[in-house]
Amino acid sequence: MFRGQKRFKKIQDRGASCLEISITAFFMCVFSLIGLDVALIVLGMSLNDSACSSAARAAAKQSSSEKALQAAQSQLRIHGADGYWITQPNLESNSSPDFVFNDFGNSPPTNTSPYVTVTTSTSIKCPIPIIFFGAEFLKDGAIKYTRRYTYPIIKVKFYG
Amino acid sequence: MLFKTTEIKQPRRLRKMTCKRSRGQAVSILIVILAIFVVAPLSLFTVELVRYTLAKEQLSTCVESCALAAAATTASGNETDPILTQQSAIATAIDMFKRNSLLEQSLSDSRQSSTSVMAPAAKETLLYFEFLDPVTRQPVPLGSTRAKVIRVTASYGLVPWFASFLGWNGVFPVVETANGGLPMLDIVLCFDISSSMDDFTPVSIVDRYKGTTYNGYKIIGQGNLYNAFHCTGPTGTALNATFPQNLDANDGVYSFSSTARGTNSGAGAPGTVSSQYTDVVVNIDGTTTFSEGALVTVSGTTFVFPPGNIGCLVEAARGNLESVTVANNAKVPYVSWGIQPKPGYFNAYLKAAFECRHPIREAIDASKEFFTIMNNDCDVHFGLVTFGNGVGDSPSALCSSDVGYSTIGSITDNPSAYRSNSFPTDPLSPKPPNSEIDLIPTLGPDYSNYDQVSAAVNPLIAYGGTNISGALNCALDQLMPTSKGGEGLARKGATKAIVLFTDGLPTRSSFGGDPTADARAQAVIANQNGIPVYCIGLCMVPSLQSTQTEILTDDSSDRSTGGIAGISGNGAQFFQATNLSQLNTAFEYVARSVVQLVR
Repeated sequence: MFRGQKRFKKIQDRGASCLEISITAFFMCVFSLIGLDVALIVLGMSLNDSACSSAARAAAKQSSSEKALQAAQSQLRIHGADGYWITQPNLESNSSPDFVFNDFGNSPPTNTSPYVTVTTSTSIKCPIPIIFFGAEFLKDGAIKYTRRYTYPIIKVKFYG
Repeated sequence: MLFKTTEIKQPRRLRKMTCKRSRGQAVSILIVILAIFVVAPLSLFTVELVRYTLAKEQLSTCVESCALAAAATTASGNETDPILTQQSAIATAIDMFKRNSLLEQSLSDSRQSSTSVMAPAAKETLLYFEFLDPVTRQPVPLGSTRAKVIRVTASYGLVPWFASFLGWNGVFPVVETANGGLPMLDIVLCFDISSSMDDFTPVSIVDRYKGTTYNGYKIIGQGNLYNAFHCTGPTGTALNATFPQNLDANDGVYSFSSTARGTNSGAGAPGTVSSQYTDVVVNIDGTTTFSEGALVTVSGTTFVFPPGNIGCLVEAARGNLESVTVANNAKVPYVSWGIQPKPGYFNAYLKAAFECRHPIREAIDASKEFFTIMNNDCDVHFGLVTFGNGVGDSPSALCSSDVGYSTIGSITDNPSAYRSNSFPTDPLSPKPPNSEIDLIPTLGPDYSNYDQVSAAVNPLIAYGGTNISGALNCALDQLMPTSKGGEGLARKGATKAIVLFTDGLPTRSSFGGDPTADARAQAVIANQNGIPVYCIGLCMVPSLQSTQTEILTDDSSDRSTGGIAGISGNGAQFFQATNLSQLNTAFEYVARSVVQLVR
């Protein structure tokens, strides 16, 4: 083999190795980031789910809409998050259909219980944005996960 | 030649490079293989696992909500038939379940399963309900009175996203279960029997006077007791519709004359017609003017009370229609009334009058229904504390005779047949029918005191003031442990609660201080011992509702200005009924508010 050919071959081999390493590293990075994404999303969803159920449960033990809203909000404050990757779960809004306190004026229809509906959401920032279980993308690369629970009102107010 | 030489014998470095390249290619292939056959399936498997876990978490919350709705319906239902209550609970629970969602999919298509072995189709949810005995935790048939815990099992058919890629076929059921019901409960009902508890009884205020041959009867006022006397006070009137009547309480605008009343039975009226009243009788037909009259049957004998004939009511209430001799001596014009005096008229009047007493009649019925519903729905022990001026201190305490009449000694002044206070001795102590039987399980009427409290509440009469502090003290004494100075009658692990029913405001105190302040002090003790005081206020006079609310409310927990429910805390609530038809609802809501998820 001529010297030039040898040199070219050497460069070609080095390039191939670099390419292999680069591709491998790229895939490893992608897999790692996806893994991190999944971990963050699972954590965020689980946190939001748990916060939403606690908030709905607490709201259901109140006898008025104002008290229910207050109870739900104070429950949500207990479920803290780091604030950057996963934001604190918040009430989606204070109005229907996100927050409903329906005691049917103390006269619920047959086989219907007075109920309270609470909707909470949390924003999860992902290193790589992926679509996950109905969560929606936000503009800043974060995804928003929303959860809604309806609970029966246990402590019904009654002022005849 | 050179090419051939190279082919045959490669230089060492070149051979090494070729070897490296082959290895590099192998690593690349290995990475691709790992990515496709190991990492990718593992990632997808993780995703599926996360979905499954999430579905399980969400289903668990939905089932809890469903079980709570069922339990709350059972507790607050006014149906005393267990099977109807349980069917209603199931229907309400399904409705609640359908309002939720799972993995962003609505549960509105959920169905009830008739079998516990459920095989839901893809994305379908099935619900299975069963009722459990709270002690043995074994399922009992629908309609059983031991069915006090409702168990809801939901099964959701999860279809993995990457099922075909992972080689999974079919539906993977996600199953969750929750139990709802009332907790083991030791509950004391403090029942107001103050004088005002019959203030809405329809009565006639009468002056029975001496006529030419027979007695005459001048109607001074008619209507419900409170309005007929033109009362305005916030605590009602101390005067009662039935015995002991406390006629000389002189509440309202009319005055009583004991001289004009004379001897209660066997004698004619001593005085001439005046503006003072001598008798207050119940219009036993329930009307304002006794316009319909009444036929009352007691032990097979019918007694006639002609329409509009107030004189007949007066004489029957005095015992002057028990025989012809007594009626003649009392100068009763029974011939012109078209009736025949005979033994039993007094009891007939009294029986009918008791049925017309308001609001105590409705309160007694509501409390009996409360006892029945609670007894059907949970493992409960009852206590009953009745209170007027004082608090009942024995199972069959009797009220004292009318002040000022004790020397007259006639039938209307002898209240021995009427109990003012009655509750079972050691109300919360379980009483097993057989000493050999262990106190656990502690269910059933023999243990719950259901029979005793139901029987005890029935003959109660309205009499005296409103001693809320004394009643709360008595109830707390039963519920608090001996280590804290109580009698320790409550069961270990039981949820303790007091239900305070009153139609007024505190007017008496067992502690000698301000009645309202002393009542609040008892609520503080309840708070410190973790015992909620649920308050049911009956207030039929609109102008008094705000005053009653202020003292019983759950909106303020200030110890000096707050409400008894608010001060006692621990989830206590205040319910106000403004008419008699709302009393049952108020009691039902008390039961509802203690519902919880149970293990």
